[in-house]
Parts: sequence; structure tokens; C-alpha cells
Amino acid sequence: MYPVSGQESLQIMEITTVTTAVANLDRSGALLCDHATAEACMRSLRLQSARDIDELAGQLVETQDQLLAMYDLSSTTRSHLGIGETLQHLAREATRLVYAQGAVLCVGATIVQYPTDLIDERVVLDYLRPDRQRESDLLLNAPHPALPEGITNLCLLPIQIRGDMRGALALVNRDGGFTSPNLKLARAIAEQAGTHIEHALLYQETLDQARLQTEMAVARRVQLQLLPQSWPSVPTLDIYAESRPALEVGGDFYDFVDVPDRSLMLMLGDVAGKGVSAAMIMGMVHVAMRSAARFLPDATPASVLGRTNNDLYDDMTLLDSFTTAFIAQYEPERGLMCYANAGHAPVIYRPPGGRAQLLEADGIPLGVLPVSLSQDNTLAFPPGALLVVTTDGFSEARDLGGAMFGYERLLQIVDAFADQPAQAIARGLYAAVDGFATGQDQEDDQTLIVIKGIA
Amino acid sequence: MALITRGSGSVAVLEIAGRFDAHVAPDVLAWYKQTPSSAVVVNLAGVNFIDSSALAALAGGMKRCRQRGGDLKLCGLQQPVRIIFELTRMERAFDIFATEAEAVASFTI
Repeated sequence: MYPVSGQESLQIMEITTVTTAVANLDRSGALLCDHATAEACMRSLRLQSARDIDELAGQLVETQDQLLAMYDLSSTTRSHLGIGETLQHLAREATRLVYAQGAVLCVGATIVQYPTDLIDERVVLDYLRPDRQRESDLLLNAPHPALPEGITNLCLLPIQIRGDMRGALALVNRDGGFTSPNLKLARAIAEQAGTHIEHALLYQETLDQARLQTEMAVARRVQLQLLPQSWPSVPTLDIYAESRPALEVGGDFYDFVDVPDRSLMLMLGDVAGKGVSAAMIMGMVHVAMRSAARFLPDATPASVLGRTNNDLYDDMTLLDSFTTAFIAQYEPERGLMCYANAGHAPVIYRPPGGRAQLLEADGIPLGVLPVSLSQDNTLAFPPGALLVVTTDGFSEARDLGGAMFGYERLLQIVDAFADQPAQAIARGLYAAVDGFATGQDQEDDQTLIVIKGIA
Repeated sequence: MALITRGSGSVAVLEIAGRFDAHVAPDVLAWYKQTPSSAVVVNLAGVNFIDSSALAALAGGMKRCRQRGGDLKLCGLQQPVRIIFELTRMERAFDIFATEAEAVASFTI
């Protein structure tokens, strides 16, 4: 330990290379001197050479020791996988190898010290932060007011992680101060540490990703299970529905409300956007719409849309979102399908023996204006009539050249499969859009309800 | 994809070009936040595709402006964009003009 003296000035050395001792003789002067002087010169030269050789041999041994130490460090660190564990191990090994009292390692916001109570955590943060971006080493070999209490000397080295100076290794309190070989070793340790930290970070990221994927897989299962697992049984209807999110979770939903003393309602909605945010909003819209369909007195498709809009307008405004929705209500006695459409497309209707056509919306999407503009409309729905409600994940699917699937292809497929059962029509639509967009990731959720009148 | 902003009197004009989709919508939402004017014209003349996220961004801006006594008006809709507005009936929610000059002028009447 250095005695603390007020007069003693701080020595700050920016070290760039290690210098070896080189004899500094004035050769031109040696030529002029007499024989005795020449011999003295030779003797001194020989002595100097011997010292050089000794020093080189010493350095060689030291280098060997360091290589061995580095090998040990490398092989023992490899067994530590977590970033915290890796940093703790590196700090302990660096302390041991350099014969310092302790070491502090900092990577990003993580700070690890060995021994653990070496310096107050807040002091470490304050002290290391400004130096995090340093590109060269810092050596403080004398006590200084800027040094934290209890720290008499310090060697601070930047650590390069993924090409950036994003970490630092600080070695503190070495008896006798930090010498040039100590610094060389410390620098080699810092370099090794960078590689180990990179590995640990990669491992952590892989682990985090795996965890997130598991969570998302659970979310997907929950979301799909919240959609009806079976279709309502109506003697005069053949029904099929399916939803395929583009990502793990999506913003599309469909539902059937089939309760005693009420006409069957079929609903499908598409929250703007996709992924987690759309999925969370979807859950809200789905519940609001289903409750309205179940409990609203004399519920009709338009009144359910209106009620849902009232319930969710403020939330949708806060979230900069909206939802397109289509609701149909079946009246078997009159052979009619009553429907209301809040900005939803594409909806396809095909009368028996006729051609498939788009059923255009009259109302704006839910959440855009404080009032819903959707009204109730009716369709003749005898045996053979077909209603196909899909989401724009079908019509906006793109091929490798960027061309969109479009509405025309949808109508053609509905015509081509019109004689088939509802499930076969759905399969035909999914197969056509999959074939069209081969080689492209599914860009948006693809959801459909197929309803067919049967005798 | 580019956002170009200009002022036309007290009216702020946002010009969008290219695909207007989920990648661009956040930039447009951010633009509203830094635009003090509640009289906004969005010129879509350079937009050849628009998706639901983009429509949501436009609706969000329209609501912000109307809450503050202004409005967000649209102009220059290309055919594919116009079709989306008609199918979703969003044309019933917005004031839509053929040209930017007409849209800007509508604020002073």
C-alpha cells in the first residue's frame, strides 16, 4: 500500500506499448576513446547484453505462465453459461491472476465485483460509467481524491463486445502497483473476457428467445381455443369456420351465438394490424360483441355492431385501432339471412345457381366514429345459397412477384367449389391462397366462415 | 417510402408515397405528435397500396384533429386505394378531395 501524501501528485500513464530496455551507447564517442576506455566500453556492452538476455528469458517464462493462465481462464470460463455467472468467474480469475485485491466487471448495466463487497455499488456505477466508452487503458498507480474510498490503485481496461467498447474490467489494489507485465496480462484477460461475455450473451439471448417462443405458443393455443371448437347444429345449414394467424397470435376472430329463444348469430371480426397488439384488442372486441349478441334485447346484427361500437369507441381511439366486423343472423322460418357489415371485406354471397358476388359493407369499421352507420340487410338463403365471410389476409396475399390474390380469384374459387360441402369450400380457398403465395410468408391473418343452405 | 411535410397557411400537409402499411403507420402516428396544427391534409397521390394499419393511422389522426376542433382530410386517392376506402366504407368517415389545393382550400371556407 502507498502512503497517502497530500503533496504527491497523481501519476496517470496512458500506456501504448511495452518498452524493453535497450542499451543506449554513444557509438561515435567510443571510437575516439583510448584502449582502456574501449575495453571498459566492451565490458559494459557485454554486461548490458547479459542483462538483456536475462530479461528476455524472464519475459519468456512470464509469457509462458501467462499463456498457461489464459488457457486455464478460457477452459474454466467455458463451463459457465449465464452472463452473471460468467462475469463473476472472470472477476475472480482476473483478481487471482494479476494478484490484485479485487476486480470489477461491467457490461451494459450489469456490474459484478469480486469480492462482492469490494466497493459500494453506487460508487462503482458513478465511477465506471464515464469510462465505459474509453478506448485505451487507464492506470492510476497512486492514491487520488477521484478514487473511491479504500481504492489505492486501479487499472481500468475497456472490453470489446461485438465490435463495440461496451464493457470494462477494473482491477484494484495491487500491492506494489500495476507494472507493465501486469498490464499486459490484464489486457489479455480483458480480451478473453470479451469473447466469453459474447458467448454468454448469445446463450442468454437464445434462452430468452426460447422462453418467448414457448409463451407465444401458449398464447396461440389459448387464442385458438377461445374460438368455437364446434359449429352450431342447424338442420338447414352446413357451417365451417377456421382461423390461421399470420404470426403466433392474431387479430381475427369468429364466433357463433346459439342460445335458446334467439336466432343463431354468426360473427367475424378483424382488428387492424396483426400480432400481439391486435390479439389483445381482439380479445376485448370478441367479448363485447358476444355479450351484445347474447344479452341485448331483440338483438339484430346492426344493433350488436352499434352496441359494440359504443362500448369500445374510447378504447379504440386510445389505441389508434379499429375493427371491421360482419354479423349474420339466420331466420330459418323465412329462409332469410339478415346481416350487417361494419366495413368488412371480402364477404361473398352466391345465390343458388347464380354467380358469386361481393357483398359490400354499408357501415364504417367499429371504433372510427362515435356512432355506427351499419344497418340490417337481408339475403334470401334457400338450400344451395352460400355465404363466405373471409378476412383480407386472403385477398391481400401476395405472390413472389408482389401481385395480390385479389377478389376475382376468390369469387372464381367460390363458384368452382359451390357444389361442395362447407369444409371443402374452405379447404379449396386455403389451398388456392397457399398455392398463390408459395414461397412468401403469410402476411396477415386468414380467417373464414363458410355457411351453406342445405335442404 | 417517404413522408414529406409542408405547411400551407395554417394547414399542415403530409405527403406519403409508396406502400402505406404497418411499417409506415407508426411514422405517421409519430408525425401527428410533432404537428401542432389540427388542420391536416394527407396527400395520398403517391400511395399505390394501403392496408388496415394505415387506415387505422389515418382514422387516429382524424379523431385527434376533430377532438381539437380541426379535421384530417384526404386527397389524391389512386384507384386501388379508393377501392379499399369504398370496401371498408371509410370514405364515409373522411372528407376526401381530388387535389391537395381543394383539400387545403376546404379549411378556409
